[in-house]
Amino acid sequence: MKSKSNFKSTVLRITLVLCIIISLGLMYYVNMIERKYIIFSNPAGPTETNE
Amino acid sequence: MLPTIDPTICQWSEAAYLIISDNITSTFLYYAHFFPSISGLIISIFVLRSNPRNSAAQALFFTTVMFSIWCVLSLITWASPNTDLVMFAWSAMIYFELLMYVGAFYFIYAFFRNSFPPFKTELGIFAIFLPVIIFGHTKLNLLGFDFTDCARNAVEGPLWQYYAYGFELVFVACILVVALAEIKMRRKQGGQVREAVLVSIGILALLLSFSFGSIVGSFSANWEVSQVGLFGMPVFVALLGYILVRYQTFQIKLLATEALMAGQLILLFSLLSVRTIESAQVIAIITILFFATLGVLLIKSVRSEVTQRQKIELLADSLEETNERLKIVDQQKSEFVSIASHQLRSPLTAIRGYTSMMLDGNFGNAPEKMREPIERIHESAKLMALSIEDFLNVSRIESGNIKYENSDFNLAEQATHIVDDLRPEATKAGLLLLFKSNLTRNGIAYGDPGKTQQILHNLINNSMKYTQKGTITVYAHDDKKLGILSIEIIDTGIGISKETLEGLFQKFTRARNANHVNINGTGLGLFVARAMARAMKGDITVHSEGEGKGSRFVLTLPLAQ
Repeated sequence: MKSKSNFKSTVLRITLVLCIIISLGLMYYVNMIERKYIIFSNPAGPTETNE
Repeated sequence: MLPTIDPTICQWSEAAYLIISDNITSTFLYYAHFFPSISGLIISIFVLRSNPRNSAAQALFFTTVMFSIWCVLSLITWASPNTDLVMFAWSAMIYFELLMYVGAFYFIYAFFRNSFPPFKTELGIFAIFLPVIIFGHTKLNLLGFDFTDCARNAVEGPLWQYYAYGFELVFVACILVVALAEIKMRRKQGGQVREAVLVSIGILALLLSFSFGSIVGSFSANWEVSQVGLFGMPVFVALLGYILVRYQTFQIKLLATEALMAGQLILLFSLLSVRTIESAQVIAIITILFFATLGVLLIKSVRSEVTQRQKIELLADSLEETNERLKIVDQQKSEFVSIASHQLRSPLTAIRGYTSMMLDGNFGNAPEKMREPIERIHESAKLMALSIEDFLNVSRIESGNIKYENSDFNLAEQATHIVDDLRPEATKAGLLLLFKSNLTRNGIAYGDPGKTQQILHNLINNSMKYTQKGTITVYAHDDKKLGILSIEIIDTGIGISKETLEGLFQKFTRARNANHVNINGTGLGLFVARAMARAMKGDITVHSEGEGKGSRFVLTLPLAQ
């Protein structure tokens, strides 16, 4: 019973790690490759964007 | 169109190794990042190395690794002139910050309960992590990059500003609940309350100061002030160090020494890469703090060990002296018993001989009135002779004066003969004495036939003495794989309690209920029997379910080659 629960926990942790890695990959893609972020050059709000 | 920023307008410097740059004007920033992460990492590595399977040690290591990655990413956001990299590092920090809280929760849970949280709790943690996974790369996490007045900050979205900080506060609350429950339980059961309080304060200081720093920075945009929050980690590490030494948690002896050496090496190497006097001063301050914390712990630990060793040495000397004295006394006792027994045996032989002759009518027919007293004298002399024989055997065993004439002999046949000899006596006592065998070979063992007969006689006789009704079964069987021949004596007698079983083969040990059945035992028979069996490379073991449930004695001897 305990080993079954351990197995499920391990699967869950591996899933979480994979999700985080994919999400970090997306972050890298959005910020470093596509560079999809707003630039605030004055306090009034966004002035330049790639969108 | 890609975002366009000209770093030359702001005169940002390039960053060496991503984190060393003149963009970081205050050395305090390096100090705030390096000291907490390095000290935390060192302690957790040594704790994990000493206890790799300990759940709390694993969770502690995970927490400090997440904290250290967070520190590196944070330094990148401070040092790098590359806005893309700053945005990526800032986005990614959300994971490591939240995972640090999860790790801290796991640590406190495992520290108190010696296991990780149950699956359902982990599923809940996964569920509240999902929004961060789904929206981590979107503008809900980071809205954009603030270039105003050359400020190099990311503008945080609702995921950072509300969800992540809410997440952190929920975990702080969970840790508080687990800690308070543990403290309450320890107080009730008289456990180490102080240890639980210290570790709880340590972990809460780490998380609350961290959250406080992040929230202040996030809402005031003064990120330099928020770095004070990182000092929760050294507080936690210091308390953890104290707990390790004071309560010997994780059972680490050399932890402080190893951590001190490793920390010192890292700090000295880092001196090679600094470029300014201020940086060198910062490293010197870190070194002093490192020495002050770990050095004091180390000295305390060494002092305590030295005192303990001195006490042990004194005790060892005294023990050696006592042991020598005991050996002499024991030898004198054995000699005394041997001489006394010999002196007693000679007159007894005469008493037994003459009473036997009187009963046989060698001096004429004794009057009927005298027969009973003569029979009693004869029986008592016989019992006394047996007791003296036991004393003599003990004396011989202890002085190593017993000689064994080992040879191949038929043990199964010998057991059959003894059973046949003792059967009339057993029948007279209302007992059924049986012999059974399950032999794959001819029942030939290797040992001293005389001594084996003595042992078997003793064991079967014992069973008869302590069985008031029922059966005594003598069962012979062999095991070719183990190369042994076993004779089991199984009775339905008074049985033996668990407490008595442990010391049954020691000298002068008798079962608690033995005196109700047989008052003549010396408590030496089994000691002598086992000593003889072991000297012949065999053994005697005893098994009993408890008082009133019978017993089983097993004599084993090596099979003949």
